[in-house]
Amino acid sequence: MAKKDIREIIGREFFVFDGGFGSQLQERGVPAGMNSADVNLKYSELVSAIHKDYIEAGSTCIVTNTFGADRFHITDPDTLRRSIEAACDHALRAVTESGKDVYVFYDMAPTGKLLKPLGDLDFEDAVEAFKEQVILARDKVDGFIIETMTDLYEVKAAMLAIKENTDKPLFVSVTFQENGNMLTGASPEQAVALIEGLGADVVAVNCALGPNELQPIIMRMLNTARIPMLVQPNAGLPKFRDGQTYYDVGPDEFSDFIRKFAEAGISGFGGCCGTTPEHIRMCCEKTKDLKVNFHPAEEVARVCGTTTLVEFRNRVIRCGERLNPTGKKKMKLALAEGRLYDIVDEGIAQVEAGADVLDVNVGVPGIDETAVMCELLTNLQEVIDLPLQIDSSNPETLEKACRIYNGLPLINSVNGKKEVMDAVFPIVKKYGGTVIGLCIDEDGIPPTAPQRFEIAQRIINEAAKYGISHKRIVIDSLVLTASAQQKEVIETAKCVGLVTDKLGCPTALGLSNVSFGLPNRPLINRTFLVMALYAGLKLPILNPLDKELMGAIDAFEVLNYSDVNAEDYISRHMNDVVAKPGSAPAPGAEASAASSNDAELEGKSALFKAIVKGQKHQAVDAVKTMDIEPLAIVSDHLVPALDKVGRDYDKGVIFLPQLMVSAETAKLVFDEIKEKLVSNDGPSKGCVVIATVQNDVHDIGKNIVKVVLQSYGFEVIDLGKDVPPEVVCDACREYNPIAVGLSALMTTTVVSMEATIKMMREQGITIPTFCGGAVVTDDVVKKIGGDYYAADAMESVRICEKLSEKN
Amino acid sequence: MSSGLTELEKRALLYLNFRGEASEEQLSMVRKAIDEVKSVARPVFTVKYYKIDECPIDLSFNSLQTMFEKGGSDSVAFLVSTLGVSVDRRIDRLKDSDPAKMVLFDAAANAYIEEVTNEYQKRLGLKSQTFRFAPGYGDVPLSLQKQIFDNIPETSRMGLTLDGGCLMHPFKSMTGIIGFVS
Repeated sequence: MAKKDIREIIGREFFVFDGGFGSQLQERGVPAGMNSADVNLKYSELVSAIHKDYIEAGSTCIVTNTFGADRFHITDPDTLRRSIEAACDHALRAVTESGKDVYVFYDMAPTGKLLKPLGDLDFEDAVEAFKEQVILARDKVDGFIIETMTDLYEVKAAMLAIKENTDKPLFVSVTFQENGNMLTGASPEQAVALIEGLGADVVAVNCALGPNELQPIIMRMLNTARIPMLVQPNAGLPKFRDGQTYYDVGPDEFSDFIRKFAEAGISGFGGCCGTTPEHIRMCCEKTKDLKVNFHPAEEVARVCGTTTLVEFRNRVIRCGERLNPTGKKKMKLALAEGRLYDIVDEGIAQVEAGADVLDVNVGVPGIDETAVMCELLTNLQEVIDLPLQIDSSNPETLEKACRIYNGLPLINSVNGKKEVMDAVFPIVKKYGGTVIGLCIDEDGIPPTAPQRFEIAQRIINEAAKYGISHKRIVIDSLVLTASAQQKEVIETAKCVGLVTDKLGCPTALGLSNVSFGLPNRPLINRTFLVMALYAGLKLPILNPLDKELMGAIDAFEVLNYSDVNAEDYISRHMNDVVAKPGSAPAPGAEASAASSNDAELEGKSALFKAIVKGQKHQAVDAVKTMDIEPLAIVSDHLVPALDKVGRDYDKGVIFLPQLMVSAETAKLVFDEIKEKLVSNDGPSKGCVVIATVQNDVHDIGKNIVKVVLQSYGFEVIDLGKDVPPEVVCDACREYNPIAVGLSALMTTTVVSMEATIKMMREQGITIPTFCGGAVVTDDVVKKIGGDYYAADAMESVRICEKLSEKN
Repeated sequence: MSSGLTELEKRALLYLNFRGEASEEQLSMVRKAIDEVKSVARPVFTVKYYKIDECPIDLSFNSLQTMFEKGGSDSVAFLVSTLGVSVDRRIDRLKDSDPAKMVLFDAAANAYIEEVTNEYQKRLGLKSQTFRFAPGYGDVPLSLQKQIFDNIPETSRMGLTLDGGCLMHPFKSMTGIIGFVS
């Protein structure tokens, strides 16, 4: 009788994989570190014999000896082909000779290269490297196992290569560090989400850790997995003896763990480094009285970025709307001019403001939408690890963007039009993730909630035909403008309620549309937001920089009992300053600076106090109301306040960050009065050129000096980091500064500091230099020909003030 | 106040070069920065062991030899750790947006990498281990980093690279040379 398709078994009967292969080869005399091509071609009998030993021990699934059988490890294409074919044949021969129903899995391992942007391997090149293995092995094996993966982006490349070239069963196994995350930072839950989303049959974990260390990771994966799970731990953590690495968890202890995992719900087991046929035999023995206890976890919509997972559960998910050129001239221009970096900055600002997901739309006429979208996604994912919402009405753009996206995307959007559903649902199915379904169809947006609900239902029914669950559809009931369609605004909120209660899908709304054409738009937005949240809204698409709007969500989550014990609310709002009714709006909470004794501030001006305490708003407000000469503001308030802060810093009463907040506050005040000072011919303290020297890229110290010098009224020309000597000399000629500040962190770059000073002197530039940095001392400065040693930022100020007086 | 501080907080204050007794307000700023570093950092480690007399990396420097002799070491462990690129990016971002916060974050990150590396080293359970020596100190040149990286290819999988001056990127990374008895 032909053996069953393994898909009929998984989740019902235990499947047993083999154990360590490399360690078995070494035990039988194969030199360590030999690549799989050499082993498969030179030691065919030995490879088959190891397979047979595992089958004898009870393995029902064996894995080909193809770890590292890719074009990067084996560069000759013919050798690669012969090695892969031989590896498959060795495994098949072992199965035939055993006479047992054993499944042969092709082992697909990491390329050993890091994908862009972390490394230099292009995503499509990775797909291609995996694809050539699939094509060589697909007719010989029963399934594929991707294993020992440390980067989910590489997992995605391998999975696409397999899914696009065969429909054989696919198991995917990832590896974690002791900190519980993958090498590139992904969590167990995120790994499960991506592997399931891309359509694996089994999710697995192997290598790096022993069963004891893997225990918490396995439990987290079981709690979130909806597909069966395989575990293949190492025989403990690697130990070292006599120049050799070894593992010390024996078969008995190892199999006790496996039994425990089986009771907890795993569907298959095996071993990795250091495990032997005896480990497998004991595992089979200790689990023979158990039945598979597989229970899929609750289904929720999940999206992920490079290292973050967002699940649609009971919390509100804040989607930043600002990476969309609609109505934004600056972004349109940036897109048209290809200044994607400016757009990335806008993304960062939203992340810092508390967004959970960012919408990305590049729909501007005259650009190649698909290419720009892909480039922007890559740029964004270099610095932003949140999930991104790929927003386009062009299916080709959606497809390409979903393909290169590192994670599980949120796709915006599909709608009730048959043609759109036909184009978008195959993309959602292939790349996983979640899709936004708009309540609009060929006849436009219906006016009433029940009519929009009907479209939502149609979208969900059509998605089901592709195997996409309703939990993965986020219904957008579409917000209309209150100024034009006032009657219909409430229908949107009603539809949110209907969808939440009757369909059980999450809901999204683009909020800002509601207030077009009305005064005080934020007020309308905020009020509508709360209405919709109460109706069940989960994904408001909004401006995260609108603090009051974000605050309304925080407050709602307290009142709705989703922020239990108001923990998030308290942490975000504990420093809020609330304006009294009738008073001017209160400034936002600011980092407070000096913890000065308040008694010392008695009788001082509001400006003095605000600078000492680092209260920027109060300081600027205070200076605006002061009806005295700008010069007097500087000499009677600003400088004395800074002097006090400087003294407190020297005495160790305040620390550097507080000194800097005061300095920044003073700079704001200085900027406020600067124009008047110039027109009044006020004294200028002079210009200072500062630089981190050539070959040194550590510029934190230099930046601190800059802030503090500026606050004392110096004009600072910051040449940046890694600055060649000739650039410093050019700046001296151009700006004629009173001093040049040089910074170097490393002993190796003090040489550059010396070279800079030398070149200045050779070129006849006599401007004094002050030097600082971690390895710089008074002696070093003298030795390299510098004039002053600045131990810290305050010392730099004192040196510059002295030089300013001399001038 | 200082007596109630965690080691991590004490170390962060040390890196801020703070000489006084920290007030509640100052501590709260440091704690916030530490929390933020923890949320951004993705600590990764790798370790490679050699017998000292079989080590392909040059260990002939006086300070290393003295260290091994004192510890009676016959083996050496090379420990490389990093907080990952996100910490550098965060510092870069704060440079313009909030320099004071940058200083706090930077100090907290320095303290954190030291703490997580110490914890990792403890778990290795090395017998009679010496202190952790870093290239770039004493007579051990920074250029030794290149040999270490060449012999430990895992470093590139950790996202670590060396620049022309043999400085590690991301910045918040450490290399340690530890002698022990195998």
